[in-house]
Amino acid sequence: MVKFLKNLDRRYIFLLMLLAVGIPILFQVQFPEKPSGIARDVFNEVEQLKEGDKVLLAFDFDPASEGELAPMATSFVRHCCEKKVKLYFLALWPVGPQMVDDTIDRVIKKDFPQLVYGVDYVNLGFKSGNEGVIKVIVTNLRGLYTTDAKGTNIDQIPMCQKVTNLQDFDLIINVSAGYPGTKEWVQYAVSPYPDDITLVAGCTGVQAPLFYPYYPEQLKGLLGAIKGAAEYEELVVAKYDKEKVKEPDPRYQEAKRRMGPQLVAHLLMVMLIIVGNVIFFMSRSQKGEIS
Amino acid sequence: MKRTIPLFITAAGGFVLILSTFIPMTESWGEVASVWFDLLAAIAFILGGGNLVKMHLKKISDQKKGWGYSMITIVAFLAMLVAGLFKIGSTPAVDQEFFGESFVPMTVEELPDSLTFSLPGTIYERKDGEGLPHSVRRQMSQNGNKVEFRGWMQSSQKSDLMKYEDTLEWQALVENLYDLSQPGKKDSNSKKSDKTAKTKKEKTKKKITLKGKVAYYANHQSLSFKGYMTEEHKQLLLALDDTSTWQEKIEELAKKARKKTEINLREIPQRFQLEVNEQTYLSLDKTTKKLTLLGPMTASLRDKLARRPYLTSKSLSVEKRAQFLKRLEARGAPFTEDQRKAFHNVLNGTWTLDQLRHDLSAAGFPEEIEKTSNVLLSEKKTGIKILKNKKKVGKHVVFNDTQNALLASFVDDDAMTFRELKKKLKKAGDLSDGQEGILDKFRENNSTVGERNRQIYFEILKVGAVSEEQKEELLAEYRQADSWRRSMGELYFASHSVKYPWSGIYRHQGNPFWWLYEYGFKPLTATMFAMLAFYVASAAFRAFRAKNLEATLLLLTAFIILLGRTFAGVYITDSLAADSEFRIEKISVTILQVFNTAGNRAIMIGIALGLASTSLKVLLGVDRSYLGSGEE
Repeated sequence: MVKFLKNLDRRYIFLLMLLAVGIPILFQVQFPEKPSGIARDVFNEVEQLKEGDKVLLAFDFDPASEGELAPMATSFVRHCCEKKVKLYFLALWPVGPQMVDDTIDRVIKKDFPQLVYGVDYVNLGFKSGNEGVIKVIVTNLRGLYTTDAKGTNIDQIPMCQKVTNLQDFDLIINVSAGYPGTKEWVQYAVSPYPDDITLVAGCTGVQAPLFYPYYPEQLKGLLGAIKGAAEYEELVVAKYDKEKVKEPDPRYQEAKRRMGPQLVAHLLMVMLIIVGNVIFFMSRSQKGEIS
Repeated sequence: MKRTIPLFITAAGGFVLILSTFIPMTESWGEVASVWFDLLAAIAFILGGGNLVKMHLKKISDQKKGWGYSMITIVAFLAMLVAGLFKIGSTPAVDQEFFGESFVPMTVEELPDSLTFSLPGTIYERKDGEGLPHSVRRQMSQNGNKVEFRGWMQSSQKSDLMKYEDTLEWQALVENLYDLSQPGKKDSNSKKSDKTAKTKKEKTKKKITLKGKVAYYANHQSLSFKGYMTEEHKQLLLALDDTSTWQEKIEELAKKARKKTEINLREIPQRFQLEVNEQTYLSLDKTTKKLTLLGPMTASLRDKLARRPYLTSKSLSVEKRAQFLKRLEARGAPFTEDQRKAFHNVLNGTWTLDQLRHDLSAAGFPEEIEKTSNVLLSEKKTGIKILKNKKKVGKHVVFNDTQNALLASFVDDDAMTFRELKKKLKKAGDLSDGQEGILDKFRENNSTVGERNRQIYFEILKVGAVSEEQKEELLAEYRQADSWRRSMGELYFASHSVKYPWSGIYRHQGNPFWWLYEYGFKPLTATMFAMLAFYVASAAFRAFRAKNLEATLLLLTAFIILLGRTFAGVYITDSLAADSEFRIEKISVTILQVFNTAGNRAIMIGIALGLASTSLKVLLGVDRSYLGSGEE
């Protein structure tokens, strides 16, 4: 048995992982979520906005990380729409505009059709330059964004007329999958203007530990991966659906749904590490006996 | 020299950015440097693309191992590039097209002198140095002691100018210039003709002006005409200038504004009829089912025609409801109690006579409007110190008995339309603009009979069975209306001349780029990322060993984080008190917020110090490794 496990074909592990992820998806296994303090901070930052406040949403991710980040992007936009704030979308990643469009279609067009493009929300699109873009727009947004993603002159967009730089926004929400992302927003936007710019972020699991040093000063709240998204979803749903005794739409429970396969996959990982170590120690003791 | 220039650029750029960070006065220098950086970053995409093509072409040419993959890369790259760059299959952006308008190119200088409007005054110079709004810069100028405006001023331009300076004198000047520069003001021949017109028909005909029909878009350098251009309109335009350029342009514009578009209709609604004024540009052949339009179709005309043949639903009396229900049930099985409830619920949602009366009564009060700047200025000149911005206009309109009776009969009369009601109410007594607006609002915002019946169908279907005949009875009118609406939409687009064919977005849904992205790029990148889970699992099984103390600590931490980031952690230590620090989810938070933060901060501070010294070496030219190893 030990020999079999020691020489276990890695395809068996792949198969186990497939089952660990596939079965909970098929059976729609879901578990309750208890929001952590850091996710609650994100929620509170959005919640304390007033109607008509300006929120910048920077979607710095691509389809590769969409599975991990799209649910939190959905919840961010939904929460902002419920708060009736003005939404300004932009992206520092080339495929960011597609992520913005998808979220607009998923949330605004379906559930908030009364919101008008250019009056309630605008997509400023992608600009190349990574942190260079942040460096400019922190003091002069109009210098770089002369049009929106559709090519409409920014002066002709009603909600953009009173926006001159990042300091005019009441909150910046960044959904980040890497570089450029949350780290650059902290370093080039928040750090030079800590009193004028408030930032909350959602990021992939591998990035989250790197951003904890910025919390809670430069970064007022952080959603780490699908777990953070599920906690945030729980808070948004509790406030806007459960309080109104309304059945939450599955689109706003997507992260919670994805936590099912994640739990089983994590358990499998723990099990594999344990089994791997058991084999390791048994082999070592056998070697010791032989020598 | 080859190295000196890049060194100089790096040093200059770096020092400018440092200065702009610490000295507020130099903030704009940093912005300029960063904008240049962003532009260069965009160019880097081109260089990157070129390099990718070069590398892979070389690999293919040398037939190195894996050249097939290079071929796929090149093909995919070029397919995306061509589809995206040339916007293949993208329709022009709706918000940048001017539906219902025809254009001829025309510069501001080419505009006739008769379209130069001037008034005594001075263009204000703002203290902040901000120039005139972009929308008017090409058209507005100071000529001696007069302010000149070339072309017809649009309301958006007026609005921009009003915001430019908030003194009453300036705003009054803008208002006067706006009034003066409206199309129709100079069509003096219309007034002249009025006196000579003998018949009523002639008088009506002679009153035609260019108001609402022409516009000049300075930023697009185009002269526009809205809808169909009649001969009278053409003559009015030609009369503005007798230069050959102007005459040719107007001829060209007339040709475009009279372009013939014909569509085949699927069916013609029974109640549809063309109005007299529409017959100049619209014709309907009922035998061949052909609708012909001259000139482009405006959105308002499209909506008007699409809605006209269909009546707005009205609230039904108890008897009418019973009859309707009986008619429906006769076409299938009787409805269940739930279906009847659903039926009545939909009908209860229809507007009522009381609601209409209430809204009309509220709209009958004098309207409060903002005073013009001219009025405010004259009030100021008379010595009034506290100026009130608003004034009431019109009188209080209360419906007389005949009008009230008309309203009551309107609800019962299925065939009477809101337009007919409006005409009758006007004939019977006073009707304010606000009340007319209410009638229009009720007509436009309430569902048609077909839409209401469709809603009934879906509501009763949710709670029970509906026969085919019942379905037909409830959906027939909506289906016909939908087909008619589509025909009008078809005519709307067919009659439109595209102004900016390349204005669509590259990722327009359904175009080749969108297909490549949606069904190629997106699943492939997502798959690559998802495969990590399999490799990590395999690696954890083979390599994550508790070989020593550090590895054991790392392993334990991994267990806590893996369990703490899911419900498993909560479940395992659920028996502990809620505020216990030994619950796994709490331990995982402590690890992230305390141990991880401390470690990361130490690394960050170290990196920052290293970065500062390395940057200084780069800026001073001590470290030149980034320039490559080539000798000068």
